[in-house]
Amino acid sequence: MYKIYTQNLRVHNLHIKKVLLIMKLTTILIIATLLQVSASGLAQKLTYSKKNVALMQVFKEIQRQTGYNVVYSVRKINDAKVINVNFKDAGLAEVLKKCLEGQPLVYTIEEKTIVIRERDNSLLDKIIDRLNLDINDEETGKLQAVQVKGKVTDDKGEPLSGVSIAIKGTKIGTTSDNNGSYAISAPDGNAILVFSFVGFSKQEILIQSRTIINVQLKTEPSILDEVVVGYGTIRKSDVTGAVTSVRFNEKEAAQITSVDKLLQGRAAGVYVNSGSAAPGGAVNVRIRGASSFSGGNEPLYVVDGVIINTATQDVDNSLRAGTNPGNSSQEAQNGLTAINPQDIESIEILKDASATAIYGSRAANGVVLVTTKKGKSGKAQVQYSSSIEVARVSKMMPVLNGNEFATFRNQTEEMLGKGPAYNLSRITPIDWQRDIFQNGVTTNNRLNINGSNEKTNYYLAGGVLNNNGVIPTTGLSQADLRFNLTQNVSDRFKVSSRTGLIYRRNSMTQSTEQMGSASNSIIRQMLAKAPILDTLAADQVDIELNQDIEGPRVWLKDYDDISKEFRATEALTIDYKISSAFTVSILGGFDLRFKDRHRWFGKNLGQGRNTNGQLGYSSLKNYTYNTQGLLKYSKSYGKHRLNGTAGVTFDKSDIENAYTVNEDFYTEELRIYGLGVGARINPFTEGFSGSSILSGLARLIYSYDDKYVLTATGRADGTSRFAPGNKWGYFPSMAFAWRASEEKFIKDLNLFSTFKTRAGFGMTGNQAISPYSTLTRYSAAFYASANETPIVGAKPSLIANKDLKWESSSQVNLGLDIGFLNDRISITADVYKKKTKDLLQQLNIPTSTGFSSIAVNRGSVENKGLELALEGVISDGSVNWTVGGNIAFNRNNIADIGLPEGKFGNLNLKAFLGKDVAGGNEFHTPANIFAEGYPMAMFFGYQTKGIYQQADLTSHPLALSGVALRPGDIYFVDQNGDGNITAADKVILGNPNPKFTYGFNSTVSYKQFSVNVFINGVSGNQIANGNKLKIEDTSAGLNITKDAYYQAWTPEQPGNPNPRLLYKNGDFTDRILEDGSYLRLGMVTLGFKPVVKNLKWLSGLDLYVTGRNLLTLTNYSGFDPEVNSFTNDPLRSGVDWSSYPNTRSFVFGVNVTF
Amino acid sequence: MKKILYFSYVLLLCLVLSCTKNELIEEDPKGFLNDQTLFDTEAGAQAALVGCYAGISTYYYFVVAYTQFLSLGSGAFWTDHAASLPLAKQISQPTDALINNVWKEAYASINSVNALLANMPKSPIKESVKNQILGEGHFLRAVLYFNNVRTWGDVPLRIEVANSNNLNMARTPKAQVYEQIIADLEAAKNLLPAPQAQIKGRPHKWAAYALLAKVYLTLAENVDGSPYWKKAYDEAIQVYNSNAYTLVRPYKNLWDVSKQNSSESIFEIQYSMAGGSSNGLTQIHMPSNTIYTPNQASSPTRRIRTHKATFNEFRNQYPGDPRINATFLYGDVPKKDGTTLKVYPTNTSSGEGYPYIFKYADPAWVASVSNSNFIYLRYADVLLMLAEIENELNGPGGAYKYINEVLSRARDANGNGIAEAGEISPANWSGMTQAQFRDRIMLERRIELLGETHEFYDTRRRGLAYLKAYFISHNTHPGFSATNDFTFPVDETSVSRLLLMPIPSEEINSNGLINASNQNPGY
Repeated sequence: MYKIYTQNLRVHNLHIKKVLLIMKLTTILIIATLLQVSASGLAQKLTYSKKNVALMQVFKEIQRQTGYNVVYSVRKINDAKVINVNFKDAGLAEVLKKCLEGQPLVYTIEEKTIVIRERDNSLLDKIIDRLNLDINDEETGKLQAVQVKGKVTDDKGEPLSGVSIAIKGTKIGTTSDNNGSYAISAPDGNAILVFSFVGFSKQEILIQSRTIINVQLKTEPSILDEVVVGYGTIRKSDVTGAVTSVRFNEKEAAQITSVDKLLQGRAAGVYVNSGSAAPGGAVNVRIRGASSFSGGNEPLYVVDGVIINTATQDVDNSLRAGTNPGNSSQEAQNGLTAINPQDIESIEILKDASATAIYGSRAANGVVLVTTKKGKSGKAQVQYSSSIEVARVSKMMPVLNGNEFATFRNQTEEMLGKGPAYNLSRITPIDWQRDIFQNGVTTNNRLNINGSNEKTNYYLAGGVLNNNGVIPTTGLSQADLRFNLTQNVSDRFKVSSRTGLIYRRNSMTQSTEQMGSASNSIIRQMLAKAPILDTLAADQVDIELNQDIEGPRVWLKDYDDISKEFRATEALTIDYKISSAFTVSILGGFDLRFKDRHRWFGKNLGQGRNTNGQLGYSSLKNYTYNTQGLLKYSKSYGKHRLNGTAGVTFDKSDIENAYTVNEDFYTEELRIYGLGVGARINPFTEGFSGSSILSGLARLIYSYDDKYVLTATGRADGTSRFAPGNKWGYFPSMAFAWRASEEKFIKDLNLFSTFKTRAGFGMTGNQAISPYSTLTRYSAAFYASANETPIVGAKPSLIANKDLKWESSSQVNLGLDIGFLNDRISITADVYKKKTKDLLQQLNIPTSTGFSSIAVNRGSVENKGLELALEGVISDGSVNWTVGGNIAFNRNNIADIGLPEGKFGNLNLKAFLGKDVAGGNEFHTPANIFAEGYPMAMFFGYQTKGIYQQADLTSHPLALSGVALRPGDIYFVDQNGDGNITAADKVILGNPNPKFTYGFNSTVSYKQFSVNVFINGVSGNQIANGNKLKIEDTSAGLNITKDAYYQAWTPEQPGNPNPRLLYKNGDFTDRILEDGSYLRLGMVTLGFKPVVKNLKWLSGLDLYVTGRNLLTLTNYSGFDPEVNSFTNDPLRSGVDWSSYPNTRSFVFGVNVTF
Repeated sequence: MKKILYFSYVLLLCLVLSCTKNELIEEDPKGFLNDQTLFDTEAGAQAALVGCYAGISTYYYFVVAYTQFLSLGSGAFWTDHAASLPLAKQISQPTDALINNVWKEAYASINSVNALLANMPKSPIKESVKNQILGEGHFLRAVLYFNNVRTWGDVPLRIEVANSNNLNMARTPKAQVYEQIIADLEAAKNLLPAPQAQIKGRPHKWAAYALLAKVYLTLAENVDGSPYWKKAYDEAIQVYNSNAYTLVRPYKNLWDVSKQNSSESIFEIQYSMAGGSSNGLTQIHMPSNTIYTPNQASSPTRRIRTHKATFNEFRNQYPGDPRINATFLYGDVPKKDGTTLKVYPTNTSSGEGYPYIFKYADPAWVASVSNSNFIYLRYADVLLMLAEIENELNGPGGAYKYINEVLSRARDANGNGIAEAGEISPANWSGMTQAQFRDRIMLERRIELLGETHEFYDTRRRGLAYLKAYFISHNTHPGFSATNDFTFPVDETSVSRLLLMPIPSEEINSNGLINASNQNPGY
């Protein structure tokens, strides 16, 4: 039954005596110093503890302690895995059993000899064995001729343990011990030793006649060997999909308040833009383009294996109730509060479906995997970092000053046949922008303690952030705590916990708003309000200050928007190693989020004046629970390596949204705390939304000879959101990689250190649909009784569509990874094509159903693109230069919209229009159109051609909605030639989607100094600058830009580009469409690490100064081209509607390590 | 052995997956009700009924949009509300927001009622309550369709709950819609409670008779000898004989917010400042800062004001009629600060040259909330109908008693029921021909019911010639100002177009079974 390879057997005590002696001495030394091995002589009880030890080493120890000879085949033993052993007074049988567990070996004891044999193989093993036999028999048949020993150190001379030392071309190998020492037997002097270790460059050394070879390994800083891929990590070489690791340093992380900002410009194909530059404002992230009409275009964020809630999650807008409901919109806030960027160890972005399919129905927009920090090895380390940042508005709008404004107004009043509006000698001019904007000061202090030993690894961090905005009432304060702990309970049993606690207080003002009028937004007020403080005589001070006189200042005095949030996240994992190949991992996690928001409008603001003071309150309670059970398998069979993961996950989410409004306040003293004192309280409304997903998932990675890697994944998701029959979705993927650089013909080129091609295909889903959309829903409706008391009723509020299902995406990805010079220079290129079908959209239905729309699955969108990334590390010992750059091109196209053709302006399109930008008189029209055959959200409006001139009156008579154009009016293009400009003359004007986005990052360090430069940009997109409709409107009596006045058309100056004074038009024309391309010097950091001697307690000091947003090259005329006012609303894309201005800032920081 | 263990583990996982999947991912609708459970209890069923009332009491129906749309669309009222100008000028388009919104809101309520009527039969609650709920449901559906059919003519007749399978529906011929209205009212007659047994502020059984009388009266159109006159009479006379309603004295008490749901009220929509729904009736009718509007921050919108012609028609007919002061806010109106708001006729300039409707004045109103109710149908209307019907059936002889009952109440300025000296206008009617009576009763309806949204239907139901004459009288009345006042179209095409409102564009654009060729003539 047993095959015994007698010719391969070797008895250990036949070794050359000298070597044996040295080895014994070494071992004894190890025992004495590190290994806690008791000197129990030749008893049959063993005490031995060591990690990652080769089987051969254990046998030596057994022999030493027991005096038994151990007989085995070198080949078989070298095939065996390294193991962790921890025996204390253990019996010989127990020791042998443990050691061989999970190995393809069995043992027998004959007298005082232990014989290790190969186990009866499975069929697969036999096939593999057969494949390998011929290759190895030759070497293993020989007795060793040369014994080599030595010490392995790192580039600082510190010993490296666990370094793998192999004889090239054979299976002979060992690892270095805790002192870095090793000993190995080689067939002869022509053998080559290969030294390899994680994070270090591989070294090959020809033995020749030497017996002692000491080796210093060089670190490879930028090459990480393991990559987090979701539900586990895999070897980097085994990655088959488009996975980008985001590189950033601690200084960068310390300067931002949410993880999404960290992604900007750092990964090809990840487009990040700010919805609002306000502290705590929302950020828009798109991976490989947008593919959904329904709002679900955000990537999935996973922190330490726990799926956290979307970045767009927020409290309801409380002012949807109350008097004038819906006239006030709510500033979008960032929902990614679960993680402090400074606690992030690594970020991996899964871009293509072969990588994301493991997340199934939630992965269509890509996945962002965040791993938080662990303790560094060695003794406890204390790190303190502190920074202060001073920010100023990076650009102000050139509006008229007080005197100019008075002149302009007097001129227009005269044109209307009225007397002058202002007496120039009695006005007090004021520049509202300078008056309101302040220097925003941000301080950030953080302390962490971390460390690890063999059993325990911990990371404890806490900090306080205080971020003041450039508008005085805006800011963000935050205190947070993170505690990460990993405990090896035993060799098989590991428990780890990742805990995050955060408290955040965010104060906002009103910038982007629903209505167009100047009184609804402080930004609008700053620009539009007459730049005159007081037109009265100086002695008349007894005036009631209000919005009309104080302008934007009243927003500082009479408006509060305060939100407070507490969030707790936890991921508790238990890993149990069933055998060397199988591990069970059980995870339980939660994300608890409690937020409330108060918005107060005092009586001097329009909203407060109409309601006699208005206070809105809204709250969010989010309870999300994650559980998962995984079975992981990892095993090598010769050149075959298998890595499998299978598991079940269950996620449950309960969200409670509540709001109320109170109005009519006799006192304004209590402001946001006065909910109880208003006289007209609206019913407290609370909405509950629960959903759950049950999933089964599996992944298998098979690699052969490190040359071919095949990955197959599958996930089945069952969701509560859909009706029976549509609940389950299946998301398979398959990918293949060929590491050509392992092929001889490539190796012989001696050019590439890596040459890998990847091809993958997969399916993913998107369930961005509200829960309960398949049920006939009743909501509260109020009526009154005859005695004037309210009665609550219920009426149908949703038309159900039981046929709803997932949006599903299929994606093909082809990739190429090339590395030169030991991967010091690496290039990654990916091309992809992604098709998303069954798009969830609101289909307009006959209003005689009682509803306007129903949610349906219709249409498809394609995104295809190219991504390139380059990284380089150039170092000559003293100067170290790392450089990284990326660029991504994405083309978006609505392949099928599922709607009949209709007339849209002058075009026959299968299309639907986006949402009205605003509700007032300006931009009360959709800016975007979604049309088959076009990219998503194209701008749709009127084309113009300059200014209508006197001569055009006769040559091109034209009317706008029946009213004849006058010279000096905007010259609309009459698309249908009927002489009248109507909605039928609208055309597609432009594209809000960038043609390409790019980022560049470079760090040069020399001795204690370093310079880091970060540049990012987008190109080819357009922005609908709605603000122009307001600040160029000369008819409203409000302030305007200098150009609108000085460059206005007059009969004398007919060449001026702006329309005549008093001209009024609020339509969306190409005049407000601007090129949104920009190139931004996002960050320049100068670092200095002083050498500190004579201070034992101080082990590191790092000082830096950063300039942020120092330079932006753009043609955009608004505050900042990085703008998307309606961040979370794809139906209002690429619009600038009084967004909070961006800032330029300087940061001074220090990091101290104790 | 180990392998078996591993396999068992995987099998266990699969087992967990398959056994529990249905329970774990079932939808658990918390926080809102659904039709599966709502009707299981009496309170739930009543709430569903309240939901139907809530629907018709919202901004886009009776409280603002419907009132504004019908009043301004009638030709009797003036506005400076930009969005309503096309309606008021009689040049409305299918795209007008008000038309679209009222249509949608009417059908939203129809859907609520349909859901109520569909779910009630299986409800386990006691019979008497079930009948009350069903009765009110049928009554409400009749009200909604009666409004729809008079406004748009043929309309989609939806009597089933909307779902993803019945989205498209063609226009149903008018006659069929009326059949449904009559059937609903017949059902309501039997199901609604007797007087006093109803919930206060809700209709009792005689409301169904009264409304049915009005339905038949409308069906009789302008046709001499139409059988519907008799049918209308049969319903109306039963209401008259039931003594279920009496006229409120004096007339102005009808509009006193402390005396709502009076003995005259047949169907009244309830509003309350304490309620969750807003009520803009006061806001859309009243100016600010007069002694009748104590709250400074009341944000009046003043969207509905009467034409000069409408005011004059009334005052010329009955000078000294106490109803004038109860109906209009006009002339010199005292303001809170001691000054005077000058309104027509003391002011004829563009802004204040149009008297306000005073019927919805609530001294306590704030912005878009007030306690002022909306009376959809009242007993005086039944008496006017009876007078009109009796005149059509048998001539004026038997009709005077009904009209004179209304006029005698109108004269009774102090409401003591005694004819005192000075209480002489309006005088009783007598000595008219059938044709004279017919003309006068239409004018009397405009006077008695002004500002109560009857004008559109009353000016349309007598046909093209009647409406044309009405528009001409507006365009030619003494004091007409071509610069400030609206000039109504009087050509036959335009006037015949104006007999109905256009089917809203949203409906045409999204309904696969209604296209532009199915639009009402002229739009």
